Amino acid sequence: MTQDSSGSGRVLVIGGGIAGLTSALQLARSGQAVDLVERDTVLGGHAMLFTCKATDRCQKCTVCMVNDRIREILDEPLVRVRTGQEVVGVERADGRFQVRLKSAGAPVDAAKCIACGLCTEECPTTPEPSISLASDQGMPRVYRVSEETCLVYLGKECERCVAVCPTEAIAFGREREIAEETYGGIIVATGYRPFAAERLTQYGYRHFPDVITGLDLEMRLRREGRLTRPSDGSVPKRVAFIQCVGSRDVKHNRYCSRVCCAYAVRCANKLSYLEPESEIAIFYMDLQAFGKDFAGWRDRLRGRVRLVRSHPAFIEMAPEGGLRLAYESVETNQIDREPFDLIVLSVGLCPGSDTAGLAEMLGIGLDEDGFLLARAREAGGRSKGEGRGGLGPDETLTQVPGLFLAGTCQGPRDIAGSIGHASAAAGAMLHHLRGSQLVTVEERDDDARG
Amino acid sequence: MEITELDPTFKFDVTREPGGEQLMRCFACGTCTASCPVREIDEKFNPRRIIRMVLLGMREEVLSSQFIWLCSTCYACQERCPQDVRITELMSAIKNLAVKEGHLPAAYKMQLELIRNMGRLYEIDEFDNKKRSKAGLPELESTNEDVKKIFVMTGADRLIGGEEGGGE
Amino acid sequence: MKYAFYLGCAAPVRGRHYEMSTRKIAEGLGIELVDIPEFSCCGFPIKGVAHDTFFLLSARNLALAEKHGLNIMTICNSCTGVMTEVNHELRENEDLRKKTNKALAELGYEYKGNVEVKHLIRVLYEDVGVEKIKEKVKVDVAAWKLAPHYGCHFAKPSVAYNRFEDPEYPRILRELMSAAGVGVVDHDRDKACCGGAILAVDENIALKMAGKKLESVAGADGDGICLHCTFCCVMYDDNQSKINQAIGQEYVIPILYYPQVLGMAMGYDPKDLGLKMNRVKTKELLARLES
Repeated sequence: MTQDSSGSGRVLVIGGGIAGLTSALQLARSGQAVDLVERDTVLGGHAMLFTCKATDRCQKCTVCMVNDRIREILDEPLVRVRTGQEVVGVERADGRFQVRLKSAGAPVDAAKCIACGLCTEECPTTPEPSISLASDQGMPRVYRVSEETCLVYLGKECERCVAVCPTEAIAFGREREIAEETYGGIIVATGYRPFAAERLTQYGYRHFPDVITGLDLEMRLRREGRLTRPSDGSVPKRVAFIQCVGSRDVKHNRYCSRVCCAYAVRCANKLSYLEPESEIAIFYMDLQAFGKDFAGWRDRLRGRVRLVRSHPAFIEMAPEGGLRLAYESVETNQIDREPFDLIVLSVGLCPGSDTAGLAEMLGIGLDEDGFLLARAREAGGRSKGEGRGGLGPDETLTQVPGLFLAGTCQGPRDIAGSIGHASAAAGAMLHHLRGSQLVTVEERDDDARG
Repeated sequence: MEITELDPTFKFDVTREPGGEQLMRCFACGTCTASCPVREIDEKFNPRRIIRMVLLGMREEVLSSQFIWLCSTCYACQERCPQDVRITELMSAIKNLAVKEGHLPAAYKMQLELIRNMGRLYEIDEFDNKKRSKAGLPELESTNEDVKKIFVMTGADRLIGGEEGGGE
Repeated sequence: MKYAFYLGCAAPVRGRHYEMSTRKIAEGLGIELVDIPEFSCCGFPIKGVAHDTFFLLSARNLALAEKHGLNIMTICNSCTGVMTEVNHELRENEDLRKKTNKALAELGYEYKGNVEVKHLIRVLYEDVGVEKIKEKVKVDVAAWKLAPHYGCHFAKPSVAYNRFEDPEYPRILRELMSAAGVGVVDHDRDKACCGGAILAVDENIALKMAGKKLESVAGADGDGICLHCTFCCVMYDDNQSKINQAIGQEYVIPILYYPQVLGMAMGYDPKDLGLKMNRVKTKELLARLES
């Protein structure tokens, strides 16, 4: 540890998803010491659940960058990774932040766990062991106990894993410790929540097993390497994607989530590559082509993936079994109830479920869609207004000096967009710290030498 | 059709009618039409197309049409519309505007007369009341003065030629 | 449980069996029904041609019930729908309420917004409750396998109804049918519209819409349809032969009102439930219960 552990010169990054990782890494590379706090036991956030969408060539989905960033973070001496902890209180005084951190009290100590797997072998619960690797590809590689199935949580005698662990990393009934730290600045990178598809009951998500969300699709593809149907494990021959599920919908989220068109097109492309015989259709209102080469993807789908301009009305079970999708093709005025084996709901991005509480704790507002409120940089003494509407894509400032936003906590963006935003947040933080008296260049150089 | 035949104020007139308020939110996704049980039977009724025609200003084609009277008010479209256009209410707004511009279908004229004259859609005469008594049900009145007053107050009596009568 | 009993236009003339069976089970379940002879049509039929007239008709009925200090119990989905909608708008929109009250004042009424409009089915589900209904069941009617038909205006527009039921997955009627002990038949057109509202405008389309339902129920081997709307019943029962003509079928599908079904389960005489007044004969169904 190169920095003083009292932490007054450190920066806190809240959230270990792609945005938080990026901000932390950028700051560390500039010589700034960082604490990266993540509530989960592993880093990577939602992006860790996504699949690589390469066919015979890279589709530039940037999912792989997440793994790279995690590895770099874990090797970065200026970053102290605090997984399994969350921020429960923030006070601002003299330009510094007094932060209270609470550990989740997880039985496995991430710092001691060497991921040897002995505990999983020893665990008596069936069919699944109650202690296992938190995420097959997640990092740090650490084991996690399921509170639903573990005998100890069920009030029974066991603790066989505790006995077998060679590094004494496991202990039940750990105190939920509270730590107090002082930071010179905070970057909030708490991410998003996927839209709850069951709210659009006409699509029958959780009612029909073969209606899944875009996130479900990503996870299935990542886990299995190919797509199978949840109902019977067969490979679906006819797959439909429904775009704008919960997005651009005034009853749910009126905004465009900006990521769904791209992930649906890339997934459709990948599915068509994996199963060339399959029939794939994307039902869209209009394809929102962000990014300079996105329009090209559409052309590359031609002949393999059917694009239907329509927002489907509902999904039903045919009397003879199998899903049917009811829609009107707006281009032909024809209505249809077309059979599909699997239907993917392209859900968008919503503010994280605890965003309102977080905003209150941090003393910043929410925008009208419920994301954390960014403040426009004042130009020529005139404020450009608040919210996402009039802001450039890189806006990271808040009402609180020293507090910056990174990634999807501030509004929908894709991985590349989050990386860009998080880098901008790191830059804004450096700018802020230079203006404050916390860390001088001499001190830092001294530190680095020391 | 010629662009000069389009009436750009039509959409505003519809918007002003109760139920027409959200008309201009429509982004023509087709959810309504695919939900519509009438469209399923007969393609001459297509709510998405009707909304487009209103937005384009096809006043006469819409207001004098038969198809605007085909909405069964099932609300399937309204419940699912992502833009909350409130399509069922919008159809009602369009129909009300049609009536104001002189297009009242005979079937509705008759219903107006029945309700004005008797306060209800189905006549209750002495014979009905006898049958009701026999079944142990209370007798009902066959006219309602308040309803007649409401028809005068709202101008609906003028749609059916003023004073009472003509219920046949 | 005391309600102003709002019959609507169709029930007293074309749905006396609905009215009879409702009064019968209400008595048995302790729902007190008060008749208010001054109630008028709810205005539903003329909403599309004379909006203000429709609105005042509904508002006046609400004001009338408020004057009696009673909530309204309806039995027709359409009456329920428009009165719920008008009630919702009057409660939400103060300007509209003022304007409406100015008009109502000329008739000697005022509406403050204190009335609840509830369909019989909701009264049974929310006020009486499934458990109490089960306790009252004396006769096993499991031999009947009936297809539920919810009707459109029972829970839609869902905003006006505060979404007490998900219109995409209705469950209240199904639960009440199960509570009465009758078999519930799943069919793919359970939510479909009866077409009744456009019968006078385009009979052919309306009949074909209704025909889709009969096909679906027949395809699922339902013994009949169980519903709770006078309008829908007129469509499926009174017009069943016309529907058959329109779609070239010869379906004989009895159409039962839910209170008739529950009344049978509660052990009432079929005569008191008006089971002879159903247009499609219910004799065979009744015989099945005796064997």
